[in-house]
Amino acid sequence: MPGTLIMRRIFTAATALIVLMAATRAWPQASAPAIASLSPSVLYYGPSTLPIGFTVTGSGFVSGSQIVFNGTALRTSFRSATQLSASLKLTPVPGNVALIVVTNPGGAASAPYEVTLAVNGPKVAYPAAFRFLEQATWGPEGQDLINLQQQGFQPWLTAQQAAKESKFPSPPAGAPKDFAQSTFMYNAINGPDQLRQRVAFALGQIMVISEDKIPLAGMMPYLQLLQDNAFGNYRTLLQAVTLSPSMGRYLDMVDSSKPNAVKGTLPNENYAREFMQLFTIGTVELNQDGTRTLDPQSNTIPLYGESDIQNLARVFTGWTFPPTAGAAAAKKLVNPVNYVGQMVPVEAIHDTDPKTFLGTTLPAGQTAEKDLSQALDVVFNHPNVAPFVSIRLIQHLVTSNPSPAYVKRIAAVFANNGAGKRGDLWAVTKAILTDPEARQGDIAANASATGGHLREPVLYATAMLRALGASVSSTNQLAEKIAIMGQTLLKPPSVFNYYSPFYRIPGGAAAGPEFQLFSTGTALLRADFAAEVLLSKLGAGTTVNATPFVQLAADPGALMDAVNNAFMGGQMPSAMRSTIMTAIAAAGDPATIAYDAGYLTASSGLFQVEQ
Amino acid sequence: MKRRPARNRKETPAQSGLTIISRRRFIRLGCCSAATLSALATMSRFGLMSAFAQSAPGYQALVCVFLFGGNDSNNLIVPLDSRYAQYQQIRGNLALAESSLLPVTTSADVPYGFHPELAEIQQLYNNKVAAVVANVGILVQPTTRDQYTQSSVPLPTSLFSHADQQLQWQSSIANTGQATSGWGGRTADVLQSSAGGSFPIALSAAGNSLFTTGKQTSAAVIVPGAPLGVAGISGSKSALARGAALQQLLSFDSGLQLVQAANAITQSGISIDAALSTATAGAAALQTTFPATDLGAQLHQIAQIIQVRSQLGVTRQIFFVSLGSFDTHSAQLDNQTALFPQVSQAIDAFYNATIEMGVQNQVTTFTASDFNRTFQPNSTNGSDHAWGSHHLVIGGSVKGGDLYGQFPTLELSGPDDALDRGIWLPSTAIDQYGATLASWFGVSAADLGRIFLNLANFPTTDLGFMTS
Repeated sequence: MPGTLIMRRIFTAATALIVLMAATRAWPQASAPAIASLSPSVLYYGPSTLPIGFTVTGSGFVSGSQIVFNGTALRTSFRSATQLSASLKLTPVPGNVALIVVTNPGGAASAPYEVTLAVNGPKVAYPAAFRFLEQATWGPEGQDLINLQQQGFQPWLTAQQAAKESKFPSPPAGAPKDFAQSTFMYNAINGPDQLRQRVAFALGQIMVISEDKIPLAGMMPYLQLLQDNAFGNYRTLLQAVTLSPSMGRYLDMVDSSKPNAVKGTLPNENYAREFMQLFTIGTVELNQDGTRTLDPQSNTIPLYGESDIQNLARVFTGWTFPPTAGAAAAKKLVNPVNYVGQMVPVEAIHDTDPKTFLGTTLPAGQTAEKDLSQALDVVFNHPNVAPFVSIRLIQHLVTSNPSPAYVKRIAAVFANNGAGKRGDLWAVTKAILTDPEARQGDIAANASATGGHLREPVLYATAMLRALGASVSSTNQLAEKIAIMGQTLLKPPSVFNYYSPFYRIPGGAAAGPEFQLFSTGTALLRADFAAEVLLSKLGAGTTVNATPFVQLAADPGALMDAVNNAFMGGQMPSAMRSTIMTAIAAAGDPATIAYDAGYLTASSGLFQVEQ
Repeated sequence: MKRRPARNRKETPAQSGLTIISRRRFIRLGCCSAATLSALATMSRFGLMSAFAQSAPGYQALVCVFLFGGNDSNNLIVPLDSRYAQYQQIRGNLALAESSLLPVTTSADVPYGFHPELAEIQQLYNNKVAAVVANVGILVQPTTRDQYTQSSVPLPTSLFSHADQQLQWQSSIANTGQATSGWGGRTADVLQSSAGGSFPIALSAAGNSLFTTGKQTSAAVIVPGAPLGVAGISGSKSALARGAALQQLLSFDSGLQLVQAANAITQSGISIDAALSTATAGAAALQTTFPATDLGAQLHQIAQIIQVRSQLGVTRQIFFVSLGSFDTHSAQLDNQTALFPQVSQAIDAFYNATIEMGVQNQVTTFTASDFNRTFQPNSTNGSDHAWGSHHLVIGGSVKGGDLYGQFPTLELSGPDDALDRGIWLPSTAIDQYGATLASWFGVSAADLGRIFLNLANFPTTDLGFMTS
């Protein structure tokens, strides 16, 4: 079957249900129209934008019979009492399932008939396309799914590299205090540069700043910096981050001075320490496959001691905020707070003694800039960086538990992109997503028992909202809801991010970083969030229109097919489907039927954990 | 979950339990009824048993207040004898003015001063229900400066890393790789059969924590102020069917580890919330006012749970709360000025709530933090990562008004400095600190060794700051 696992259902008149239409309908009568089949049996999406013609075969048709497609009456040609035809310009239908009904003049209506929509001869099968987009975007949605099925992975990726970048603009005067969060969510739901945003967010969870310390004026430039560098080079990114005034303020590198015997002060160690521990090499030696190297006594091997930190701290002395344009010539050494631009050197407070760290000595007498650049080169070229960065990106995009072999393959691409370049983030991103281990679970039966990762609250939110085609404005308040689920968006509690890459699921059988936010308390709040999404109770600026699904409620099987396609890539286990169908049977009306289908799917572990 | 069923109205999704206010919520937005208020008004705060306190015989609770980031406890408590001059000279721009410190003395008449924003702690100390335990930190065994410098004894791993030290403090295990359970959780493991009901002994109001994670038992985690239970799965026929389907989906075995983990945690949450909902039904609001701060809200939540301990069927409880932002690499004076009042007022309110409930002798609160900070300042008006730190223990059973352990010699590169920036080598191990608390809590001597794995390496297992 071309590109879909959807089973077609024929709904008989004997089990007719209420159909949500504008006009009232009587129960079907003996002379009511009935649909037997559709030709073509599957309606195929573009690339052509021309209308698609189709023929409905059945009985009881009369001149004036109308084909109604998902609630919209089509201009119908009467061929005979057993044949009608119409044509339709196809736009993405939520869940790729539609119901057609034939209505006769006088009001008699057929039972609904489930129609499947699909891509013809896809380069990537629907479940694979769906899963890929779960990894590469903020959530699969209609047109993207069609594009990927039609294009295949590489052309889709190429298009993403060129996609117009979403912006994190400087906050306008009087911007609300959640401006950064609402901009972030607006971009996530609407931006065309989905993969860039996902990678930028992952990088921002490695090189962390937090709005609990950095004001809005410092957050926006940093978010833009991550976006701009997401597909560039890691060495470039390291320098941009190190000289970012936002990071300078967050980890106290800004205005850090060489040792002062008179005041009895030493340089600030914060940036030097976290730069190594969290942004580049970690605390212990790693093999290229991400496993820890062990000494003959089976202990892990620390990479640096306090001396390395103190020396690197001296490297990072002598930088201040960029000068504020138009400010009176300052007699002071350092500049006032200014988050626009890069930090600038102040040689007078830069330590020019030699510095020895990680087995390298930087000679005396170098400028702040030269010391910094050389130090970044030393750290960047440390072998640990390749597996360190690779593991974290894999964990954010694909799986919490990559095999050592997977890590090794990606680390190799980080070390050399194929053209001799180290640190090519675009090459690494593509390698992560197209790796056989990332694609293994495209066939559900092949999924690894420890594969996948729990959607962190922001990703849980975006996946649902994009699946439902939600409309999110630039003044949305989604961050409030995400905070209730345990993630204070853009305000992680510390430079150690919202959660640790080392966190393990209870019992410890597997790593599960996002589980650090998933507690006996927040688990239930996440289910409540799913309810609020489906009821469109997400505050100002966000609207979820459940009508496309409510319309399918006339045929619960069709509804489940749609929900399966929209949320689970068509891979919902049959036991789960039948459990939900049982609940639906107790629901009295189409709105509750649709709600149940969506809620029970979205709150289930199989959706909460992306496989 | 207890909720009045809506029998006579047709329940649509819009109505089915999504009016969050109507679900049982811990921190009540309003106060108690007029009848309750008048009843409480006739009782004095001290001494009289509250009519609402049903102290289960032998009930005890431990409350860990974790200060994330590494609190500079060099400025929590400052010697006010001749050592003040050394303090002032070395700390430079981080030194607190002598006249601003809140004076206290030890049982040996040695004068100290609390940070000016710890007024409530000073009062608790002077009322002999709070004590200071000096220079506590993670150790494998007692360690001198020379031994540290030469690495001639086993040392804790990754000593100055936040993540590692937080795990080591919470687990009292000196090797991060082995720190997979907390000493609070291991204590819960030991006591579960004798003192636990079906409700977990350990409970965190600050998210998942290693401290409350046991090897056999796991903790309840509740979000302060959040509604209990899942919305929309009770009341109408369709809501009940939805709830049944939800439960069924949670019990599927997909064979996928992470999915199973998510389902297990959710199921646990549902039953924990159901127990809390039942237990708190009919409980009147506590009279004690808690500050409207993050830590205040957490400790208020803990107090409300202690209030219903009999209904929960537990005789021992271990709690975890926390506050962040203590990583004062810069602007330390301002930051501590902002943070310490929150700590002081929240702990004070909590102590008062235990008095209100008549359990002040049965509840002991203690602080913990990643590490202390360098006695020597850095160039940005802050300090960097250090080691041994000073902590507070508060409760009616604390032998308060004294300082326990050994205060470090305030000398850079001195005998108590691990390096040369005033990084104090702990003179008391977390094993000893925890064992003193756990012993009061009813853990046997044999079990102490199972919980605190290096305890035998240290000369004393009881620091003496608790009455028996």
